[in-house]
Amino acid sequence: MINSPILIVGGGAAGMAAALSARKRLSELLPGGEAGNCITVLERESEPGGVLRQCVHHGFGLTRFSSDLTGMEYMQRFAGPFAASGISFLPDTSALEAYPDKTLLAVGPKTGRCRIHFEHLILASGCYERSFQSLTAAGTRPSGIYTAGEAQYLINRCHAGIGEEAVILGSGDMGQILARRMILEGKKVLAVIEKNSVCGGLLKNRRDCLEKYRIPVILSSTIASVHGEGRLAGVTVRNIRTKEEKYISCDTLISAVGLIPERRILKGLGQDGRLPDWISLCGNCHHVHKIVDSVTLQAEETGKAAAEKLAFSVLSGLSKA
Amino acid sequence: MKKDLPIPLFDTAVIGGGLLGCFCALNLSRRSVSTLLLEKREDVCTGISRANTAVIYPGYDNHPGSLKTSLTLKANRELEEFCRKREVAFLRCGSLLVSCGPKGDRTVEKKYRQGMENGVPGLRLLPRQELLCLEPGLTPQVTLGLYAPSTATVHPWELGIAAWEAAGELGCETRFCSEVTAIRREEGYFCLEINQNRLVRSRTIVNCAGILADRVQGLYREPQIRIRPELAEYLLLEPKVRHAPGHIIFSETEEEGKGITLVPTVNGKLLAGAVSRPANAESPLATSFAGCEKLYRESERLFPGLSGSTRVRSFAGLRPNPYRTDSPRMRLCGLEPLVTETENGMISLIGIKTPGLTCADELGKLISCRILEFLDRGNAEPKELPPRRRYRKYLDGPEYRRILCRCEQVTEGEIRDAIQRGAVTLDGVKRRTGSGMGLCQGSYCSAKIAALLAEHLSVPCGQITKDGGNSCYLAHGPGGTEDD
Repeated sequence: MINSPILIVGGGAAGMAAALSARKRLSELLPGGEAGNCITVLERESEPGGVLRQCVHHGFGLTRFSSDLTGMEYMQRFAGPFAASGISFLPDTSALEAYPDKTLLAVGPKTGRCRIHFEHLILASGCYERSFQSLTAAGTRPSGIYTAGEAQYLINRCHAGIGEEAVILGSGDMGQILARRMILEGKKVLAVIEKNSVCGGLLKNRRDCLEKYRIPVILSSTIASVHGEGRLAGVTVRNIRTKEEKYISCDTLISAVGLIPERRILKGLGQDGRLPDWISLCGNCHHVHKIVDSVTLQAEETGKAAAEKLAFSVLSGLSKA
Repeated sequence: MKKDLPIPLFDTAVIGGGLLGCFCALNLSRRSVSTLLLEKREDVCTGISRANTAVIYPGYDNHPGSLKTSLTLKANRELEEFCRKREVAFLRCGSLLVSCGPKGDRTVEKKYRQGMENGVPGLRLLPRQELLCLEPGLTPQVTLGLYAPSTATVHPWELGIAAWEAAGELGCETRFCSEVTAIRREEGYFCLEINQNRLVRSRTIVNCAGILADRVQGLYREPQIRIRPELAEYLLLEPKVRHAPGHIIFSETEEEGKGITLVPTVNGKLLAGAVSRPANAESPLATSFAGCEKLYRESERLFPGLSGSTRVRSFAGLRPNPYRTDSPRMRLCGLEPLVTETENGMISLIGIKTPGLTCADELGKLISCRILEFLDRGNAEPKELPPRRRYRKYLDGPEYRRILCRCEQVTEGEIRDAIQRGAVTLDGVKRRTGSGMGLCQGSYCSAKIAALLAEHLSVPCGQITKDGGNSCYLAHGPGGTEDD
């Protein structure tokens, strides 16, 4: 069994910020102690950084660093100090479930299947994407349908071409950024479909991603059915109010229809809807933040608070002894 | 056509690598019959076997004394042992057939009497109070229920793949992407033309071509029974409520038609099915808005607590509805008309629907005995079913401790193992490991699995398909793996 007073699940923007902030506060409160030894970060990928590693576009760090960074650059500002911090980092390690006895079941190449004992758990596990399949649209089940995050990973990290003519479902920031990314890859974006009567996302993104490239946005509409045997051949777009339908021939559908905070490892806890006080959530698994800068800020507060709690219990334990 | 090479000869050619084909191949191989399995697609269990209600029936649905009844009863007892040996997830959760009114009550009572006569173990008629004790989430509208503790569920494709792998270990040969395009009788052998160019010969034929079984029969002799494909729609839910169904729930309706079935699946989801209609020839597997909504509404009606459950996906499967060519309206009962033979050793299974999954192994045994008679061989004791060689999850090598599919917690090692065992598509990996069956529907793991497939098969990532044919996962052309 591994023992780590502060255990952080997720090594993305939130997890790294929480870990660094907790370490800093611990070394202030308990000088001379090996603060790094008190903190462990679990990351299911082989490197820290989370979703920032696939964000090659700008717009990160405007409030935090007063400069316009790419997601990668923003990530690197934390990854360097994080690697140098001595904080224990377990890559390729997945958290499976947290238990009421303050243990967490994890699986990783280094640890095997093991229980990790902790005093405080910080969940910084981000979000997962709502799948297009969960919308249970009518029609066939062809290939060529990706979530925005999957498409972004394939294009930016694997340098793979995903298709030639795309329709994008969801006009939020993710949908808009992927629309622009496809255009910059030399592909066609035939339409962005939005179920609300106004376009979503930040104003800045709407201007830089959609208007600049004259990508048509179809409002008050949804995808009623998908067509194609094998590969996607087209989608039927239906106006929610007028019920009018229109067929768009395309080979790629990117769905950006929502992020769901990833809290599945807590499923056995907090039956009455309230989590025990030894768990805190930060970053996008707490709520979906508009910008990463606010993820960092919130995670730093969370890390600091956890460190203070730990230091308090150590110091009060010492004074009793 | 190459004339110089001798044409290979087998005792039996099994046409179609679905659930029935795989179990026929296994049972023939267990009886030392040299067997060739011919499959049109790139993998086994890609047709009817991949989408159905996944129920191992208890045996009260068919008439006493019928072959269906005796096979179902035997299969229900013996399939668990097969699953244990081949490590197929088998969940004997029991079932309740429930009704909410006088018409349904009559059917429930009739099935109870029939089941008692058939000797189905543990059957009990339950009044509302007892039903609500067993299933607290069930609608209070319920009036009567038939409890059958022996009903079970499996993933049908997992069962079929297990049978196919065991058949292979016992010497069965398989050829994929091999469509039988002609069958002739030459010099006392069957001569099968594959993809209109190659030939194989066999002494006997077992036709398990599923939805196309009538056409395959027609290649040799006009079939008495034809298939009218029917589409069945399903909805998969992730129940969040405490009182989600723990048993398989069959429902009788007060209206026309059949009620829906709710199945708690072996991987913790809830399958609602099926709404059926005649299949559309152009797009035979297209789901409909109405079908999906009906399934959702009916699930909610049976289990009000399911309201608000997360939908995982909806999908459609095909059912081979049989009819007689001479009297198309006649209802076909029992298995006897559906298993047809020619005098010289071609056996066709045309339109085996429910309980085809339940009886797959028993039908395989039955067919293999008939084939032995045709081959004029004694009915010797069949070979032992070999146990499955398997990795130990989370223990063997580091790749068995690296989770790639986080929803269903499937490790890289399991995926590599599935590919080594024959998966060549993303769906092939899914059928073998359960990857991509969770809430994210593969959006997180597909890219990584495609990269592993490309690595093992030594092809560019752009050639990896979701489900064979032109269902390429990426755009065609070179695609790489992650660039760290």
